[in-house]
Amino acid sequence: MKRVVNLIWAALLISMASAHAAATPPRIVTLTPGIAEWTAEILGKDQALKELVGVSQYSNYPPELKKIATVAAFPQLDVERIASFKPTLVIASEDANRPEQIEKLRRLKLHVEVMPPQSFGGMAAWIQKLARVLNAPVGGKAAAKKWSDGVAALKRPSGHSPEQIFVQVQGSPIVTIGGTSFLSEALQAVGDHNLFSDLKEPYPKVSREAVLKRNPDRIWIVDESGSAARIRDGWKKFSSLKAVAQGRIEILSADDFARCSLRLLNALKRLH
Amino acid sequence: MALLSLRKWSVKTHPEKTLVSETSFDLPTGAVLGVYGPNGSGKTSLLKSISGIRIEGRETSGECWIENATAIAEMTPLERVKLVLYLASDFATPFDLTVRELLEMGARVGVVSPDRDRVRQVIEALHLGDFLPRVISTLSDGEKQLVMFARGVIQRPKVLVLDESFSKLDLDHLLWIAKQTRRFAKEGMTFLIASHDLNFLSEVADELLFMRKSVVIAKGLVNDLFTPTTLAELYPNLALQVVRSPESGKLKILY
Amino acid sequence: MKKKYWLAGLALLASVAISLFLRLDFSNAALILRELRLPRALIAIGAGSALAVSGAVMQTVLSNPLAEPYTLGIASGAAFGAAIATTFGWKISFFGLNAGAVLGALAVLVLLLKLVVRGQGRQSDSMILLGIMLSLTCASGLAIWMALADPLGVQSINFWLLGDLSRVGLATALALLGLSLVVSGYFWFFSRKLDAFLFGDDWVEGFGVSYRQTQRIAILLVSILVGFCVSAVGMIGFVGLIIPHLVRRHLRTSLHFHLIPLCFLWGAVALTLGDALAHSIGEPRELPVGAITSLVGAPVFIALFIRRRRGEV
Repeated sequence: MKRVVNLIWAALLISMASAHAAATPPRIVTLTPGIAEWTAEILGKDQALKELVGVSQYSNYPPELKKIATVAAFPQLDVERIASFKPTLVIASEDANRPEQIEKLRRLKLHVEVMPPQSFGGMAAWIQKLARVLNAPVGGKAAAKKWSDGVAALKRPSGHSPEQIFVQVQGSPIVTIGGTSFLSEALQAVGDHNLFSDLKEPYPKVSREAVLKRNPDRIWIVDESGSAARIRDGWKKFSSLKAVAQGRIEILSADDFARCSLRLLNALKRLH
Repeated sequence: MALLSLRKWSVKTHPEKTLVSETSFDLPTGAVLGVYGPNGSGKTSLLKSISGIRIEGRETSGECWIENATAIAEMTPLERVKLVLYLASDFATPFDLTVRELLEMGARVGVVSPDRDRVRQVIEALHLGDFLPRVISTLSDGEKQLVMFARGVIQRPKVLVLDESFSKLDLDHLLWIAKQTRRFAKEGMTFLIASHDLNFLSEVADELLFMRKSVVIAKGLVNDLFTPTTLAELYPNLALQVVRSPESGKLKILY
Repeated sequence: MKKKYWLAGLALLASVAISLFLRLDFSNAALILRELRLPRALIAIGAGSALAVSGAVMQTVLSNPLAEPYTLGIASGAAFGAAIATTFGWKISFFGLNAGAVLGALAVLVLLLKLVVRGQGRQSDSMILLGIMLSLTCASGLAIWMALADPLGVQSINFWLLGDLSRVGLATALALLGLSLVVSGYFWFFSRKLDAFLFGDDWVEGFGVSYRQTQRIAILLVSILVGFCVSAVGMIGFVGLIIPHLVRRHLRTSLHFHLIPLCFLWGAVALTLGDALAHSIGEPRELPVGAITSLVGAPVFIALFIRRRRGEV
C-alpha cells in the first residue's frame, strides 16, 4: 500500500514539474544588435518583445527593442548583470564576443548559444541556425526566404557594368571596408565592386592618395559621428575624382549599413 | 682702498645654526688669501657667501664689499661674475666638450669679442697647449682642475675664489701652480683659496685665515701663523713641527 | 663648418623631393601635390625641426642627454591636454594648433622639475624614469578620457599615440613651420646662454647667465613648441632624442651656435624621410609615422642608455 502511495506521489510531482517547465516562458538575452534584429524577424515582433529580456547596446531595430533593458555595451560584457536577468537562453556571437566572456557565462550555468560570424553569402544558413536556436523553424524559414528574395531582387540586369565604390566608414584617419567585411561581399553580390576588396582586414586605414589613384565611381560615406558632411566636403576639392565630378558622393545611415540585415538589402536597393 | 672688505660678516641657517661667525677683514688687490680649516669649519660657506651664491635657508648679515659694490647676491649673474667667480673643486659634464671650448666660453663672458691674447697668454703660462683639443670627460681629475682654473683666470673676475680647486693635483703640479697663481696675482688678480693642504697654502698665499667650527681663529701672514702656539690652538691633539722647505724656503708643517 | 650646412641643406632638399615625388601618380600630379603632398612635406619640416630643437634644448637645460619631449612625458601631457580641450570645445586653437596641448606640456614639465631634486637628480636616469612614468600616466589618462568622452572615436587614440602627418591642412603646416623657425631662431640667438648649462646647474651662473630666468624661458618655449606640434601631428617619438645626439657627434661639439640650426635642418630631414617611408611602404595603407620613428629610435635609445651607464661606471 505504502509503495503505491509513493508511486502516485512521484508521478504527481513529475507531471507538475514538467508542466511547470513547459509553462516557463523563455527569457532570451542577445549580445549583438544583429542577432537581436534577426530574432525579432524570426519570432515576429510581438513574441520577440515578450521573450527578449535583455539586448546589447545599439539594438535599435525594430525601434520597440529600445524599450528592452540593455545588458551589454560593446565590447564589455557585464556577466553578473546578464545573469541577474535569469535568462533561459543567451545568444552570443563568435566574432563579437570573446571566448573568455562566453566561458564566464557558462560557468554561471547560463545556457549560451554561439552564433558564427555573419557573412553575406552565408546569411540564409545563418538565419536557419538562429531559428533552430530559438526553436522557431517556421519563422526561420520565412525570414530566410525574405532574405533570399531580397538578395535576388538586388541582382542587376545583365547590361549593368560593375561600379567601383569607395566606402568610407571614418573620416580621420580614413577607414574603409576590406574584402572580408560583409558589406564588401554585399557589393559583390549586387554586381558592384568594393574599391579596396584586395585588402584582407575588415577595416583598413588607407591614404587619400590611394583613393585618388583608384578613382572610384561612387563614394559612400557611412559615418556615425555626425561629421559625414565634413568628410564629403573634404573630397569635393579633388576634382579629378570621377565621383566628385559626377556628384556621386552619398551619405548613408550607419544603422542601415552596419549590420547584415534586411535593412541593408533595402538600402542597397534604394541606391540603385 | 681694499678690494674685498668684510665687516661683521656672518652666515646662519634658519633654526639658528651658525655656519660662519661674525668676521671682518680686508683684502687688497693682488693678494692671495688662503683659507684653512678642518671639514665643517665653514670654509665653503664663507667662500660661497662672499661669491654671492644664494643657498636656500641661509642668511647672511653684515657687509661684504668688492670694489665699492655691495649686495653682491642681488646682482645679475653677469655683473656679479665680473667681480667674483667661485670655482668648486670638481665638475662633470655629460656632454662632449673640448678644453679649448671651455676656455673660450670663459673668454666670452660679458664681452662682445673674446680677448684672444689673454687666452693665449694663459694657455702658455699653464702649459695647456697640448690639452686644447682634448675632450673634457677624458681628462683626469687633476687635469680637469687645471683646466677649470685656467678658465677662471681667463674670465678675469676681480676676485677668483677657489674652493679646494687644487685638491687633485700631484706634487710637482702643486708647486708649479702655486708659482703661476702668484704670477697672476702680481698682474692684479685677487685670490681666495680654500685648501686642506697647509703646506700648499704656505707656498701660494700671502696671508692665511684659520677657521674652526665657524669661527676665524687666526688671520695673518704665513710666517706669523706657522708657530707652535697657533698650531696648538688649531690641532691641540697633534704634535706638529714647523720647518723651512729646502725647495722654496717657505715654512712647512711636519706631522 | 660651411660644408656641414651645405650637406644638411642638400639633404633637406633631397628629402622634400622624395616626399613630394616618390610614387606620385603623375597623371594627377598637380592636384595631389598641392592638396596632399605639399602640406605634408611642410608639416614634416615644421614638426621634425621643432622636435629636434626642443630635444637639444631640453638635453642641455636639464643636463640630461636622454631628455626629449617623448621620454620626459611632455608629448603625452600635450596630447592629454589637447584631448581635454577638444572635448570641452574650448576655443583655444590658432590655425589648428591647440593651446590645450601647450598647457598639458607645461604642466608635465613643471611637475617633472618639482619632483626631481636639483643638482644630483638632473643628470641621473631617475629623471628619465620619472618622465617615462609621467608619459604612461598621461597616455593612460588619455585612453580613459577618450573611452569616456569619445567612445565611438576610440580609433583616434592612435592618432595621439602614434602620430599622423596627414591630418593637417596648408594653413596649420605653415603656422607650425613658422613657429618652429621663430622659436629655434630665438634659441639660436641665445645659444651662449644655453652653453652655460653644459656643466650642470651649479656652474651656470659662473658664466654670467641667470639660471632661473634662462631655464624658465627655455621651458616655456619648449612647451609651446612641443604643445603645438603634438596638437597638429600627435606624438612622434625619438626624433628629439636622436637627432641632437647625431648632430653633436657630427659636429664634434655640444655648443649651441651650430647645434641648433643643424638640429633644425636634420630634424626636418628625419621626419620628412620617415614620413615618405611610412607613406610608401604601406601603400595603399596609411602607416603611422610615430610607429616608424619609435621602431628606429627605441633601439638607439637603449644603446645610448647602456653606453651612458657604462661611461658613468
